[in-house]
Amino acid sequence: MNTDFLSEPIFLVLLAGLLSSSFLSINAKNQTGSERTNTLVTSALAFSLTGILTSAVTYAIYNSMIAKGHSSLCSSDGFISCAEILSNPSFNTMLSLPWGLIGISGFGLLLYLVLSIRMDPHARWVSNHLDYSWYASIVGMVIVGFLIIVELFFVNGAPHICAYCTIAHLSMIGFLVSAHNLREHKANGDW
Amino acid sequence: MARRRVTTIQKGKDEDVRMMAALAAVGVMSIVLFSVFIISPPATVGPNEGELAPDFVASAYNGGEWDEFRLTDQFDRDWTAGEDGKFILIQFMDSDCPYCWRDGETMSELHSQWGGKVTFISIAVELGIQGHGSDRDEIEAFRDKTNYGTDSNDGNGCNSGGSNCVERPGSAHAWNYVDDYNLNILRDYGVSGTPFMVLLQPDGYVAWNQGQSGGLMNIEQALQTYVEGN
Repeated sequence: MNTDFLSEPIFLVLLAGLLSSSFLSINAKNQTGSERTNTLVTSALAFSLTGILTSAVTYAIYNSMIAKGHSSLCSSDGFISCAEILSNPSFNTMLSLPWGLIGISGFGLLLYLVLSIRMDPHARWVSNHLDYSWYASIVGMVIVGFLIIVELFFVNGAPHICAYCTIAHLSMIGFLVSAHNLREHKANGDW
Repeated sequence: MARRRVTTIQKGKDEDVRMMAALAAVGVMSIVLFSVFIISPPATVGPNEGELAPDFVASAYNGGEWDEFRLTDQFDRDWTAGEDGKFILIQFMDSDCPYCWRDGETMSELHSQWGGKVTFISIAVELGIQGHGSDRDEIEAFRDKTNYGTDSNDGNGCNSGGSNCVERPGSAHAWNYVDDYNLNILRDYGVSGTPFMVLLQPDGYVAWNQGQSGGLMNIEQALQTYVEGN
């Protein structure tokens, strides 16, 4: 198994972002009231920022694979291989848009929703933004499911797993959990 | 005397922060995108001259069997103008198209003259025209010049179903025929009819596109200009 990505500083930074977002999300379990609100919103913010940065890295790898046929961040063989996934002409885009670019936009939308809540947690539209976050993350999970199926069954020499894509997928799952906990917290009247 | 208890209810801020949040989110995305464009700028992919040819993965018949074929596997990414390298000629064809039938001989001649310096690829499509029903057996017969169909114009065979494929002009073709019956490659290259040709540099950039030449340069002239002149 190719584990070169574990020594890539960019991968380690993204992994650190994912782990700290998860730590915040778990830590919020022991809190109550506005403290819990703040921690949950901060974890959702951290997940969306990690998602944006990871999507940007996959977009940069995609550009490099298309223009040069290789990327220094990406191995081209083995089970963990983003080259096969991010350069596959049948699956690396949706409506001619690279998945990295779609990821930046999608996580950007989530960032806006939770950032507005963070800036004014008691505004009258907060419930709506919590609902939008929840619905958007469900759509995100459907896309994540599709991309994992593509990685495991459809790309050249499947199965392959793209380490950077996996960080983005886990960020999406983390955001979904945070959005769910926030809605529940709001419904309990302990906001 | 009972004292009234004042309860404080937290209210939202007076100003609406949504606009500020939107600006901040757009700002973050812009910085990230700008960084990507600086570090790894996107290539312009398309069928026009000067653009990087769209990649494809499809089944191709090489004279023996059908194998997976990927266009970018043919590219020499390190090639620069003036160096040795194999150009790539992509021909879109339909085994039932009468012009492609006649071009069978032209393609044989071009290959015998340029085969050492140019990789030939034929993309077999099925145009939505009556009498253009095809299958992989017909692609194989068209390429190999083997017995398939009849001459009795019964829709069975090549050339709008009016000819046995063994009678195709020219010799058997010794290059890959790619199955594009789902027309994905045709769409990516913006091709509206057959035959249609595109000449790629060894690094995959489009050197000549038949649709852009405006009749000023045919394929023989394009090969002379770009391959011989290189």
